[in-house]
Amino acid sequence: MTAAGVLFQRESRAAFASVAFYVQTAAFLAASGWSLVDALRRGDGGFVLVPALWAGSVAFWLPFLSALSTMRSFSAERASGTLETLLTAPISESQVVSGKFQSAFLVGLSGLLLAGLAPMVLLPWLTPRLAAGIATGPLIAGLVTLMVQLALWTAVGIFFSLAWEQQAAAAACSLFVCLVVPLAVEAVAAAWFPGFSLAVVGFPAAGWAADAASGLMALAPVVCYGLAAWGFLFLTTLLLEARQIRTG
Amino acid sequence: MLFEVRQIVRRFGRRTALDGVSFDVAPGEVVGVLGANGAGKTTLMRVLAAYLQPESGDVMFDGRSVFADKVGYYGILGYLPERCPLYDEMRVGDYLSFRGRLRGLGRRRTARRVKDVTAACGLNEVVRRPVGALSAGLRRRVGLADAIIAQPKVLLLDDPFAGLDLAHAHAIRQTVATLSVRSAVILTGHDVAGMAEICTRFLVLREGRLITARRATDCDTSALVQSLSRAVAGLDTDEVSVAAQGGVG
Repeated sequence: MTAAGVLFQRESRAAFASVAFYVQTAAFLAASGWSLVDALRRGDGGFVLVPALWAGSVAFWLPFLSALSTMRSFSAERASGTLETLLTAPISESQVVSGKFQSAFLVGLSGLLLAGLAPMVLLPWLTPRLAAGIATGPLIAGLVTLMVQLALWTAVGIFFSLAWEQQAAAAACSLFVCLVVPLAVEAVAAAWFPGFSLAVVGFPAAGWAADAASGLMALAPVVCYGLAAWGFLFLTTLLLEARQIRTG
Repeated sequence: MLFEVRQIVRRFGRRTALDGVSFDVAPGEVVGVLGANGAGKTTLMRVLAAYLQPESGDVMFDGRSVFADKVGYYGILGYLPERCPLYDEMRVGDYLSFRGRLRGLGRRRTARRVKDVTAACGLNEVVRRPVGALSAGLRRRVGLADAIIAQPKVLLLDDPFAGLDLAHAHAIRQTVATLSVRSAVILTGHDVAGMAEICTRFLVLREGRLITARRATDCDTSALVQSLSRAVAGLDTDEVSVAAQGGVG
Protein backbone atom coordinates (compact mmCIF):
# COMPACT_ATOMS: atom_id res chain seq x y z
CA MET A 1 0.00 0.00 0.00
CA THR A 2 1.26 3.48 -0.83
CA ALA A 3 1.98 6.04 1.88
CA ALA A 4 -1.02 8.05 0.65
CA GLY A 5 -3.16 4.92 1.07
CA VAL A 6 -1.90 4.40 4.63
CA LEU A 7 -2.71 8.02 5.44
CA PHE A 8 -6.12 7.69 3.79
CA GLN A 9 -6.90 4.66 5.98
CA ARG A 10 -5.91 6.44 9.16
CA GLU A 11 -7.82 9.60 8.34
CA SER A 12 -10.93 7.68 7.31
CA ARG A 13 -10.92 5.55 10.44
CA ALA A 14 -10.44 8.62 12.62
CA ALA A 15 -13.28 10.42 10.83
CA PHE A 16 -15.77 7.55 11.01
CA ALA A 17 -14.91 6.92 14.67
CA SER A 18 -15.61 10.50 15.66
CA VAL A 19 -18.91 11.79 17.01
CA ALA A 20 -18.53 14.86 14.79
CA PHE A 21 -19.00 12.74 11.67
CA TYR A 22 -22.37 11.43 12.81
CA VAL A 23 -23.55 14.85 14.00
CA GLN A 24 -22.58 16.63 10.78
CA THR A 25 -24.01 13.87 8.58
CA ALA A 26 -27.28 13.89 10.54
CA ALA A 27 -27.48 17.68 10.22
CA PHE A 28 -26.78 17.46 6.48
CA LEU A 29 -29.46 14.79 5.98
CA ALA A 30 -31.97 16.79 8.01
CA ALA A 31 -31.27 20.01 6.11
CA SER A 32 -31.29 18.48 2.63
CA GLY A 33 -34.36 16.40 3.52
CA TRP A 34 -36.18 19.49 4.75
CA SER A 35 -35.28 21.33 1.50
CA LEU A 36 -36.61 18.45 -0.59
CA VAL A 37 -39.86 18.20 1.33
CA ASP A 38 -40.30 21.97 1.13
CA ALA A 39 -39.72 21.92 -2.65
CA LEU A 40 -42.21 19.08 -3.08
CA ARG A 41 -44.82 20.89 -0.96
CA ARG A 42 -44.45 24.09 -2.90
CA GLY A 43 -44.99 22.06 -6.03
CA ASP A 44 -42.04 23.69 -7.73
CA GLY A 45 -41.59 20.66 -9.85
CA GLY A 46 -44.09 18.22 -10.99
CA PHE A 47 -44.03 14.66 -10.24
CA VAL A 48 -41.50 13.86 -12.99
CA LEU A 49 -38.94 16.27 -11.60
CA VAL A 50 -38.39 14.59 -8.25
CA PRO A 51 -34.74 13.67 -9.09
CA ALA A 52 -34.10 17.28 -10.12
CA LEU A 53 -35.67 18.63 -6.92
CA TRP A 54 -33.60 16.18 -4.89
CA ALA A 55 -30.32 17.10 -6.65
CA GLY A 56 -31.00 20.82 -6.27
CA SER A 57 -31.87 20.41 -2.58
CA VAL A 58 -28.76 18.40 -1.79
CA ALA A 59 -26.41 20.61 -3.84
CA PHE A 60 -27.11 23.66 -1.69
CA TRP A 61 -26.11 21.85 1.52
CA LEU A 62 -23.05 20.03 0.14
CA PRO A 63 -20.66 22.96 0.78
CA PHE A 64 -21.71 22.90 4.45
CA LEU A 65 -21.01 19.18 4.70
CA SER A 66 -17.61 19.45 3.01
CA ALA A 67 -16.64 22.52 5.08
CA LEU A 68 -17.37 20.56 8.26
CA SER A 69 -15.66 17.38 7.10
CA THR A 70 -12.48 19.13 5.93
CA MET A 71 -12.01 21.83 8.57
CA ARG A 72 -10.06 19.50 10.88
CA SER A 73 -7.96 17.99 8.12
CA PHE A 74 -4.79 20.09 8.34
CA SER A 75 -5.90 22.61 10.98
CA ALA A 76 -5.88 19.98 13.73
CA GLU A 77 -2.47 18.71 12.58
CA ARG A 78 -1.09 22.24 12.68
CA ALA A 79 -2.55 22.97 16.09
CA SER A 80 -1.31 19.72 17.67
CA GLY A 81 2.07 19.78 15.91
CA THR A 82 1.58 16.38 14.23
CA LEU A 83 2.16 18.03 10.87
CA GLU A 84 5.87 18.07 11.76
CA THR A 85 6.01 14.29 12.24
CA LEU A 86 3.83 13.73 9.19
CA LEU A 87 6.08 15.83 6.97
CA THR A 88 9.26 14.16 8.22
CA ALA A 89 7.95 10.71 7.28
CA PRO A 90 8.87 9.31 3.85
CA ILE A 91 5.78 10.69 2.13
CA SER A 92 5.72 13.53 -0.36
CA GLU A 93 3.57 16.63 0.08
CA SER A 94 1.38 15.62 -2.85
CA GLN A 95 0.78 12.21 -1.26
CA VAL A 96 -0.18 13.88 2.01
CA VAL A 97 -2.67 16.12 0.20
CA SER A 98 -3.97 13.15 -1.80
CA GLY A 99 -4.51 11.02 1.31
CA LYS A 100 -6.28 13.83 3.15
CA PHE A 101 -8.43 14.68 0.14
CA GLN A 102 -9.52 11.09 -0.50
CA SER A 103 -10.47 10.61 3.13
CA ALA A 104 -12.49 13.85 3.33
CA PHE A 105 -14.13 13.02 0.00
CA LEU A 106 -15.15 9.60 1.30
CA VAL A 107 -16.71 11.20 4.37
CA GLY A 108 -18.69 13.61 2.17
CA LEU A 109 -19.61 10.84 -0.24
CA SER A 110 -21.06 8.70 2.53
CA GLY A 111 -23.33 11.62 3.50
CA LEU A 112 -24.29 12.13 -0.13
CA LEU A 113 -25.13 8.45 -0.66
CA LEU A 114 -27.21 8.43 2.49
CA ALA A 115 -29.07 11.46 1.16
CA GLY A 116 -29.63 9.47 -2.04
CA LEU A 117 -31.76 7.03 -0.07
CA ALA A 118 -34.49 9.67 0.10
CA PRO A 119 -35.56 9.55 -3.58
CA MET A 120 -34.54 5.91 -4.07
CA VAL A 121 -36.13 4.30 -1.01
CA LEU A 122 -37.93 6.69 1.31
CA LEU A 123 -40.10 8.68 -1.12
CA PRO A 124 -41.40 5.67 -3.12
CA TRP A 125 -42.15 3.91 0.15
CA LEU A 126 -43.87 6.86 1.83
CA THR A 127 -45.60 8.20 -1.30
CA PRO A 128 -46.17 5.39 -3.82
CA ARG A 129 -47.67 7.78 -6.38
CA LEU A 130 -44.24 9.44 -6.74
CA ALA A 131 -42.45 6.17 -7.46
CA ALA A 132 -43.31 6.21 -11.16
CA GLY A 133 -41.66 9.61 -11.58
CA ILE A 134 -38.34 8.64 -10.03
CA ALA A 135 -36.22 7.24 -12.84
CA THR A 136 -32.85 5.71 -12.09
CA GLY A 137 -31.00 7.37 -15.00
CA PRO A 138 -31.62 11.00 -13.98
CA LEU A 139 -30.92 10.13 -10.37
CA ILE A 140 -27.51 8.70 -11.28
CA ALA A 141 -26.76 11.72 -13.50
CA GLY A 142 -27.64 13.98 -10.56
CA LEU A 143 -25.53 11.89 -8.21
CA VAL A 144 -22.50 12.02 -10.52
CA THR A 145 -22.86 15.79 -10.83
CA LEU A 146 -23.07 16.14 -7.06
CA MET A 147 -19.96 13.96 -6.65
CA VAL A 148 -18.01 16.26 -9.00
CA GLN A 149 -19.22 19.25 -6.99
CA LEU A 150 -18.30 17.51 -3.75
CA ALA A 151 -14.78 16.95 -5.10
CA LEU A 152 -14.37 20.69 -5.68
CA TRP A 153 -15.84 21.73 -2.32
CA THR A 154 -13.61 19.16 -0.59
CA ALA A 155 -10.51 20.45 -2.38
CA VAL A 156 -11.42 24.01 -1.36
CA GLY A 157 -11.96 22.90 2.25
CA ILE A 158 -8.63 21.06 2.35
CA PHE A 159 -6.87 24.16 1.06
CA PHE A 160 -8.32 26.41 3.75
CA SER A 161 -7.74 23.87 6.51
CA LEU A 162 -4.04 24.14 5.69
CA ALA A 163 -4.15 27.92 5.40
CA TRP A 164 -5.79 28.38 8.81
CA GLU A 165 -4.83 26.85 12.15
CA GLN A 166 -8.32 27.67 13.55
CA GLN A 167 -10.90 25.16 12.36
CA ALA A 168 -13.76 27.68 12.47
CA ALA A 169 -11.83 30.11 10.25
CA ALA A 170 -11.07 27.30 7.78
CA ALA A 171 -14.75 26.31 7.61
CA ALA A 172 -15.88 29.94 7.25
CA CYS A 173 -13.44 30.60 4.38
CA SER A 174 -14.46 27.37 2.69
CA LEU A 175 -18.16 28.28 2.91
CA PHE A 176 -17.43 31.78 1.67
CA VAL A 177 -15.69 30.53 -1.46
CA CYS A 178 -18.08 27.65 -2.16
CA LEU A 179 -21.38 29.34 -1.37
CA VAL A 180 -21.18 33.11 -0.94
CA VAL A 181 -18.94 33.87 -3.93
CA PRO A 182 -21.06 31.88 -6.46
CA LEU A 183 -24.26 33.44 -5.06
CA ALA A 184 -22.77 36.92 -5.28
CA VAL A 185 -21.53 36.35 -8.84
CA GLU A 186 -24.95 35.07 -9.84
CA ALA A 187 -26.68 38.05 -8.25
CA VAL A 188 -24.33 40.56 -9.89
CA ALA A 189 -24.72 38.86 -13.26
CA ALA A 190 -28.50 38.94 -12.90
CA ALA A 191 -28.41 42.66 -12.02
CA TRP A 192 -26.19 43.61 -14.93
CA PHE A 193 -27.80 41.46 -17.58
CA PRO A 194 -31.62 41.71 -17.42
CA GLY A 195 -32.06 38.70 -19.69
CA PHE A 196 -30.06 36.63 -17.25
CA SER A 197 -32.53 37.33 -14.46
CA LEU A 198 -35.05 35.19 -16.29
CA ALA A 199 -32.88 32.20 -15.45
CA VAL A 200 -32.92 30.66 -11.99
CA VAL A 201 -31.15 33.13 -9.73
CA GLY A 202 -29.65 31.21 -6.87
CA PHE A 203 -26.89 28.78 -6.18
CA PRO A 204 -25.43 27.91 -9.62
CA ALA A 205 -24.28 24.46 -8.55
CA ALA A 206 -27.83 23.60 -7.47
CA GLY A 207 -29.15 24.65 -10.85
CA TRP A 208 -26.55 22.56 -12.62
CA ALA A 209 -27.26 19.50 -10.46
CA ALA A 210 -31.00 19.91 -11.06
CA ASP A 211 -30.41 20.19 -14.82
CA ALA A 212 -28.30 17.03 -14.81
CA ALA A 213 -31.00 15.16 -12.90
CA SER A 214 -33.54 16.38 -15.47
CA GLY A 215 -31.59 14.77 -18.30
CA LEU A 216 -29.62 17.89 -19.27
CA MET A 217 -26.20 16.58 -18.32
CA ALA A 218 -23.44 18.79 -19.74
CA LEU A 219 -19.77 17.89 -19.95
CA ALA A 220 -18.35 21.43 -19.71
CA PRO A 221 -19.24 21.99 -16.02
CA VAL A 222 -17.84 18.54 -15.14
CA VAL A 223 -14.53 19.49 -16.73
CA CYS A 224 -14.56 22.96 -15.12
CA TYR A 225 -15.30 21.64 -11.63
CA GLY A 226 -12.76 18.83 -12.05
CA LEU A 227 -10.05 21.24 -13.17
CA ALA A 228 -10.87 23.65 -10.35
CA ALA A 229 -10.64 20.79 -7.81
CA TRP A 230 -7.26 19.76 -9.24
CA GLY A 231 -6.14 23.40 -9.11
CA PHE A 232 -7.02 23.74 -5.43
CA LEU A 233 -5.23 20.48 -4.60
CA PHE A 234 -2.18 21.71 -6.49
CA LEU A 235 -2.29 25.01 -4.57
CA THR A 236 -2.57 23.05 -1.31
CA THR A 237 0.54 21.05 -2.22
CA LEU A 238 2.44 24.25 -3.00
CA LEU A 239 1.28 25.82 0.26
CA LEU A 240 2.36 22.73 2.17
CA GLU A 241 5.83 22.90 0.62
CA ALA A 242 6.08 26.63 1.31
CA ARG A 243 4.91 26.14 4.91
CA GLN A 244 7.88 23.96 5.57
CA ILE A 245 10.10 26.87 4.73
CA ARG A 246 8.20 29.36 6.86
CA THR A 247 7.38 27.21 9.87
CA GLY A 248 9.18 28.40 12.95
CA MET B 1 31.75 10.69 6.83
CA LEU B 2 28.08 9.90 7.26
CA PHE B 3 26.44 13.15 8.23
CA GLU B 4 27.83 16.58 7.42
CA VAL B 5 26.42 19.92 8.47
CA ARG B 6 27.90 22.83 6.55
CA GLN B 7 27.64 26.50 7.51
CA ILE B 8 23.91 26.46 8.31
CA VAL B 9 22.31 29.88 8.56
CA ARG B 10 18.63 30.18 9.44
CA ARG B 11 16.78 33.40 10.25
CA PHE B 12 13.28 34.16 11.49
CA GLY B 13 12.59 37.70 10.39
CA ARG B 14 15.44 39.81 11.74
CA ARG B 15 16.50 37.24 14.32
CA THR B 16 19.26 34.83 13.37
CA ALA B 17 18.44 31.46 14.92
CA LEU B 18 21.45 29.61 13.47
CA ASP B 19 24.60 31.36 12.37
CA GLY B 20 27.12 29.31 10.41
CA VAL B 21 26.76 26.04 12.27
CA SER B 22 29.05 23.27 10.98
CA PHE B 23 29.92 19.81 12.27
CA ASP B 24 30.17 16.19 11.18
CA VAL B 25 28.74 13.05 12.72
CA ALA B 26 30.15 9.59 11.99
CA PRO B 27 28.22 6.32 12.28
CA GLY B 28 28.23 5.09 15.86
CA GLU B 29 28.60 8.56 17.31
CA VAL B 30 26.12 10.02 19.76
CA VAL B 31 26.33 13.80 19.63
CA GLY B 32 24.71 15.85 22.37
CA VAL B 33 23.70 19.42 21.54
CA LEU B 34 23.51 21.67 24.57
CA GLY B 35 22.44 25.25 25.02
CA ALA B 36 20.24 27.53 27.03
CA ASN B 37 16.59 28.02 26.03
CA GLY B 38 16.45 29.91 22.74
CA ALA B 39 20.01 29.01 21.80
CA GLY B 40 18.82 27.41 18.53
CA LYS B 41 18.75 23.70 19.43
CA THR B 42 15.23 23.01 18.14
CA THR B 43 15.79 25.04 14.98
CA LEU B 44 18.99 23.07 14.37
CA MET B 45 17.13 19.77 14.81
CA ARG B 46 14.40 20.92 12.43
CA VAL B 47 16.98 21.84 9.83
CA LEU B 48 18.79 18.53 10.30
CA ALA B 49 15.41 16.80 9.87
CA ALA B 50 14.96 18.73 6.58
CA TYR B 51 11.73 20.12 8.00
CA LEU B 52 13.11 23.64 7.84
CA GLN B 53 15.08 24.88 4.86
CA PRO B 54 18.17 26.90 5.83
CA GLU B 55 18.83 30.27 4.21
CA SER B 56 22.32 29.07 3.37
CA GLY B 57 24.48 26.08 4.06
CA ASP B 58 23.62 22.43 3.58
CA VAL B 59 23.10 19.15 5.37
CA MET B 60 24.69 16.19 3.62
CA PHE B 61 24.13 12.50 4.16
CA ASP B 62 26.59 10.19 2.44
CA GLY B 63 27.75 13.09 0.26
CA ARG B 64 24.28 14.12 -0.93
CA SER B 65 22.18 17.06 0.19
CA VAL B 66 19.22 15.88 2.26
CA PHE B 67 17.14 18.72 0.77
CA ALA B 68 17.63 17.34 -2.77
CA ASP B 69 15.76 14.10 -1.98
CA LYS B 70 13.80 14.70 1.18
CA VAL B 71 11.50 11.69 0.86
CA GLY B 72 14.51 9.40 0.40
CA TYR B 73 16.20 10.97 3.43
CA TYR B 74 13.07 10.60 5.57
CA GLY B 75 13.23 6.88 4.82
CA ILE B 76 16.44 6.59 6.85
CA LEU B 77 15.60 9.24 9.43
CA GLY B 78 14.09 8.81 12.88
CA TYR B 79 12.98 12.08 14.41
CA LEU B 80 11.48 12.96 17.76
CA PRO B 81 10.36 16.61 17.77
CA GLU B 82 10.56 18.69 20.93
CA ARG B 83 6.79 18.82 21.53
CA CYS B 84 6.44 15.10 20.83
CA PRO B 85 3.21 15.48 18.84
CA LEU B 86 1.02 12.36 18.61
CA TYR B 87 -2.53 11.50 17.53
CA ASP B 88 -4.32 11.47 20.87
CA GLU B 89 -7.34 9.49 19.70
CA MET B 90 -5.28 6.48 18.56
CA ARG B 91 -4.20 3.56 20.70
CA VAL B 92 -0.44 3.27 21.21
CA GLY B 93 -0.18 0.04 19.18
CA ASP B 94 -2.32 1.40 16.36
CA TYR B 95 -0.32 4.62 16.28
CA LEU B 96 2.99 2.77 16.00
CA SER B 97 1.55 0.45 13.34
CA PHE B 98 0.37 3.47 11.37
CA ARG B 99 3.79 5.10 11.59
CA GLY B 100 5.54 1.87 10.58
CA ARG B 101 3.29 1.45 7.54
CA LEU B 102 3.75 5.12 6.65
CA ARG B 103 7.49 4.48 6.69
CA GLY B 104 7.07 1.77 4.11
CA LEU B 105 7.32 -1.30 6.35
CA GLY B 106 5.15 -4.21 5.28
CA ARG B 107 2.27 -5.41 7.44
CA ARG B 108 4.19 -8.32 9.02
CA ARG B 109 7.39 -6.39 9.53
CA THR B 110 5.44 -3.54 11.09
CA ALA B 111 3.78 -5.94 13.55
CA ARG B 112 7.20 -7.36 14.46
CA ARG B 113 8.78 -3.94 14.86
CA VAL B 114 5.87 -2.67 16.97
CA LYS B 115 6.52 -5.55 19.38
CA ASP B 116 10.25 -4.79 19.42
CA VAL B 117 9.96 -1.05 20.00
CA THR B 118 7.21 -1.28 22.60
CA ALA B 119 9.43 -3.68 24.53
CA ALA B 120 12.53 -1.52 24.05
CA CYS B 121 10.73 1.62 25.22
CA GLY B 122 8.82 -0.02 28.07
CA LEU B 123 5.39 0.42 26.51
CA ASN B 124 4.05 -3.14 26.75
CA GLU B 125 1.64 -2.21 29.53
CA VAL B 126 0.06 0.66 27.64
CA VAL B 127 -0.01 -0.65 24.08
CA ARG B 128 -3.85 -0.76 24.07
CA ARG B 129 -4.33 2.58 25.77
CA PRO B 130 -5.24 5.75 23.85
CA VAL B 131 -2.26 8.06 23.42
CA GLY B 132 -4.27 10.95 24.85
CA ALA B 133 -4.58 9.14 28.18
CA LEU B 134 -0.82 8.80 28.68
CA SER B 135 1.41 10.85 30.97
CA ALA B 136 3.99 13.21 29.47
CA GLY B 137 6.78 10.71 30.11
CA LEU B 138 4.92 7.86 28.44
CA ARG B 139 4.05 10.06 25.47
CA ARG B 140 7.73 10.81 25.01
CA ARG B 141 8.50 7.10 25.04
CA VAL B 142 5.84 6.56 22.36
CA GLY B 143 7.52 9.32 20.36
CA LEU B 144 10.86 7.59 20.76
CA ALA B 145 9.35 4.25 19.73
CA ASP B 146 7.96 5.98 16.64
CA ALA B 147 11.39 7.45 15.84
CA ILE B 148 13.16 4.09 15.99
CA ILE B 149 10.50 1.83 14.49
CA ALA B 150 12.06 1.75 11.02
CA GLN B 151 15.62 1.25 12.36
CA PRO B 152 16.87 4.62 11.10
CA LYS B 153 20.44 5.39 10.10
CA VAL B 154 20.10 8.93 11.42
CA LEU B 155 18.31 9.47 14.71
CA LEU B 156 17.43 13.01 15.81
CA LEU B 157 15.99 13.35 19.30
CA ASP B 158 14.96 16.80 20.45
CA ASP B 159 14.98 16.83 24.24
CA PRO B 160 14.14 13.11 24.57
CA PHE B 161 14.51 12.97 28.35
CA ALA B 162 12.17 15.85 29.18
CA GLY B 163 9.42 14.75 31.56
CA LEU B 164 10.95 11.33 32.24
CA ASP B 165 11.64 10.06 35.72
CA LEU B 166 15.16 8.87 36.53
CA ALA B 167 14.48 5.18 35.89
CA HIS B 168 12.82 5.75 32.54
CA ALA B 169 15.40 8.30 31.47
CA HIS B 170 18.10 5.73 32.23
CA ALA B 171 16.22 3.05 30.27
CA ILE B 172 15.82 5.36 27.28
CA ARG B 173 19.51 6.25 27.43
CA GLN B 174 20.36 2.55 27.23
CA THR B 175 18.02 2.14 24.25
CA VAL B 176 19.66 5.09 22.48
CA ALA B 177 23.11 3.72 23.27
CA THR B 178 22.14 0.38 21.71
CA LEU B 179 20.79 2.10 18.60
CA SER B 180 23.95 4.14 18.16
CA VAL B 181 25.83 1.04 17.05
CA ARG B 182 24.21 1.33 13.62
CA SER B 183 22.98 4.92 13.60
CA ALA B 184 24.33 8.43 13.86
CA VAL B 185 22.50 9.91 16.83
CA ILE B 186 22.10 13.61 17.57
CA LEU B 187 20.16 14.62 20.64
CA THR B 188 19.50 17.81 22.53
CA GLY B 189 18.78 18.34 26.18
CA HIS B 190 19.62 20.14 29.40
CA ASP B 191 20.63 17.22 31.59
CA VAL B 192 24.38 17.34 30.96
CA ALA B 193 25.22 14.61 33.47
CA GLY B 194 22.60 12.23 32.05
CA MET B 195 23.64 12.88 28.48
CA ALA B 196 27.29 12.32 29.42
CA GLU B 197 26.42 8.65 30.00
CA ILE B 198 25.85 8.04 26.30
CA CYS B 199 27.18 10.96 24.26
CA THR B 200 30.55 10.57 22.59
CA ARG B 201 30.72 14.25 21.75
CA PHE B 202 29.08 17.49 22.84
CA LEU B 203 28.33 20.68 20.97
CA VAL B 204 27.26 23.83 22.76
CA LEU B 205 25.10 26.42 21.02
CA ARG B 206 24.73 29.99 22.15
CA GLU B 207 22.60 32.51 20.25
CA GLY B 208 22.67 30.31 17.17
CA ARG B 209 26.43 29.89 17.09
CA LEU B 210 28.41 26.79 17.89
CA ILE B 211 30.71 27.91 20.67
CA THR B 212 32.16 24.70 22.05
CA ALA B 213 32.81 21.16 20.89
CA ARG B 214 34.06 18.56 23.34
CA ARG B 215 34.74 14.86 23.02
CA ALA B 216 33.57 12.82 25.97
CA THR B 217 37.05 11.31 26.19
CA ASP B 218 38.73 14.71 26.62
CA CYS B 219 38.56 14.56 30.39
CA ASP B 220 36.81 12.68 33.19
CA THR B 221 33.03 12.86 33.38
CA SER B 222 32.69 15.27 36.29
CA ALA B 223 35.15 17.71 34.75
CA LEU B 224 33.38 17.40 31.41
CA VAL B 225 29.97 18.05 32.97
CA GLN B 226 31.32 21.03 34.84
CA SER B 227 33.00 22.47 31.77
CA LEU B 228 29.91 22.01 29.59
CA SER B 229 27.62 23.46 32.22
CA ARG B 230 29.81 26.55 32.37
CA ALA B 231 29.79 26.82 28.58
CA VAL B 232 25.98 26.56 28.47
CA ALA B 233 25.70 29.20 31.17
CA GLY B 234 27.99 31.46 29.15
CA LEU B 235 30.79 31.45 31.73
CA ASP B 236 33.50 29.84 29.55
CA THR B 237 34.39 32.54 27.09
CA ASP B 238 37.84 31.23 26.19
CA GLU B 239 36.34 28.50 23.99
CA VAL B 240 34.30 30.81 21.78
CA SER B 241 37.11 31.46 19.37
CA VAL B 242 37.58 27.75 18.71
CA ALA B 243 34.07 27.08 17.52
CA ALA B 244 33.34 30.42 15.94
CA GLN B 245 35.71 29.48 13.14
CA GLY B 246 33.32 26.67 12.12
CA GLY B 247 34.10 23.17 10.96
CA VAL B 248 34.06 21.65 14.39
CA GLY B 249 34.64 18.02 13.68
